[in-house]
Amino acid sequence: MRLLAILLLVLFGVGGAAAHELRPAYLEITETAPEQYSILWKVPARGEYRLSLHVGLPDVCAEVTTPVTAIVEAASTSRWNIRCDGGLAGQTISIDGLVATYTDALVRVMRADGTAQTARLTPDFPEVVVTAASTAADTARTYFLLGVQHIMLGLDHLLFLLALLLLIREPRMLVATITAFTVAHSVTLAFAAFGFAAAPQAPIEALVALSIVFIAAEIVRKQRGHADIAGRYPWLIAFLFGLLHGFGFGGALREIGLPQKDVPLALLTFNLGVEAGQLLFVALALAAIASLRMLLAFSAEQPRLVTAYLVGSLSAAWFVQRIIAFGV
Amino acid sequence: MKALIVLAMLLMAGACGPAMAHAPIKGIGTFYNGLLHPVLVPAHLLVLAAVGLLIGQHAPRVSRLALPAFAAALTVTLALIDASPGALQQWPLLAIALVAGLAVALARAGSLVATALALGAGVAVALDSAPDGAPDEQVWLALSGTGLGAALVVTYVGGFAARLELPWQKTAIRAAGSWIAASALLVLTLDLFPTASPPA
Repeated sequence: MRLLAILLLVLFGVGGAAAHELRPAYLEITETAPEQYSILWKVPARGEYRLSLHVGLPDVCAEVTTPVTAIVEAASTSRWNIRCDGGLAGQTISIDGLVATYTDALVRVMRADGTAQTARLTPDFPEVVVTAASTAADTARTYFLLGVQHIMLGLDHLLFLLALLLLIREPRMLVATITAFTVAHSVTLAFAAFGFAAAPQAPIEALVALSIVFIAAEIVRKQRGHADIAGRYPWLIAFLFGLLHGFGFGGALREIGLPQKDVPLALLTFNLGVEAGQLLFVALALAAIASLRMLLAFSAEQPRLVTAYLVGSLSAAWFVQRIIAFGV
Repeated sequence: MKALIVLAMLLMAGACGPAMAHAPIKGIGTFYNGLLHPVLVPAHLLVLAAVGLLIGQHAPRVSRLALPAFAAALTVTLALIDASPGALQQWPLLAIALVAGLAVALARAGSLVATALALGAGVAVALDSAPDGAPDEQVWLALSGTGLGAALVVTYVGGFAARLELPWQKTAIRAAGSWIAASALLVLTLDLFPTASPPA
């Protein structure tokens, strides 16, 4: 009985250790000729034990060479060649056994034209559909959505817009100001993305935070009856700060990376995505302000002041945090 | 009023049950998943629309008190469930939607009743909004999104209803209230008496 208990403990101990492997597996499929592929498959291993993960290839594929396996640097590495009738585009590749683990698998399919598709497979989603080389429409859609995503996740850019909404009360001036902001950040985004101009990202991020503090302070000053240049010509201020924000967007685009082809299209659609996200935010914010006025029947002055102080305080904290982060 | 709030809180606490999974949308981040949560869960949308219509129908007399009460109840309860996550069964949400829908259909609600319903809705929606699958350190982000999303739904619906002043528009609001009440009653019946549903 005691022996059985020890045996069970050892068995479960080994199983547990394997099940909690967190290093990802890696599958690289390289198109060597039409319908011909070479495969590199790395599975985390400890000594002679490896995770029970296997590549699930579509039925149209057949092995041309037998897999050659070796244990190299805590990974079981296999290489072999396959032939897939009609190619891999549109076919599903799965990692069998992934659902029973805590690990992920990275899959990279390298096409003959130099483009690549990369996917991270998880225990929840252990398969990927191989796409054909991306078309111009795919690039446009991808970068448009990235642009929307970037502005919607960029709280500092959204707060700058909110501050502009609070500063400007005339609809015509609001349109002119937001247009000026858009034109300005489009210019610097293009310059940064094409490499014509560059600015270090950390100071730019700090200055973006400072630009919000400036607009928040202008709201308070305007409320107190002091109309400065930002109060009289908000579009000019929005244009100048838009140049800064454009460098911020350009930095984000550099991090995402531009595609191997259709670069101007990617840049244009990324910018359009940013604009779409911006307009959506402005529409939602204006609708919320109008609804609150109807429901609470308040004078807009006090809430505007409170919001300006909140936005300004948060941005000032960001400014200090970002200055500290780059060690000045 | 205090007794009513205490009673509502006790009912909510008694109704706590196992968590219901709401699959997150991939690729939009934790905050926006939280933001969309009230729109994607039918029972939440129903109760939020009902409360929005109710406070908008009698704005600003009722909404001046009810909207801040809703926001406060939502914020406090979300903060509490961030510390101690739980989940609510569906029936309290549906019961509030039913009563609020009826109040809209009848076009009769005092400030006290509307505020009590808004408080109940804020607490019930928040209690049922514990995010599934979000990493522990991002739960607060998902809950912040949910709070903003729920508040925006009530604000938009309320603001829209408050703008409708023509007689036929007021009738349309009452019709919407009756549809909400009927939907809530139907689902509530199936939820509370599952055996009453016809065999598939």
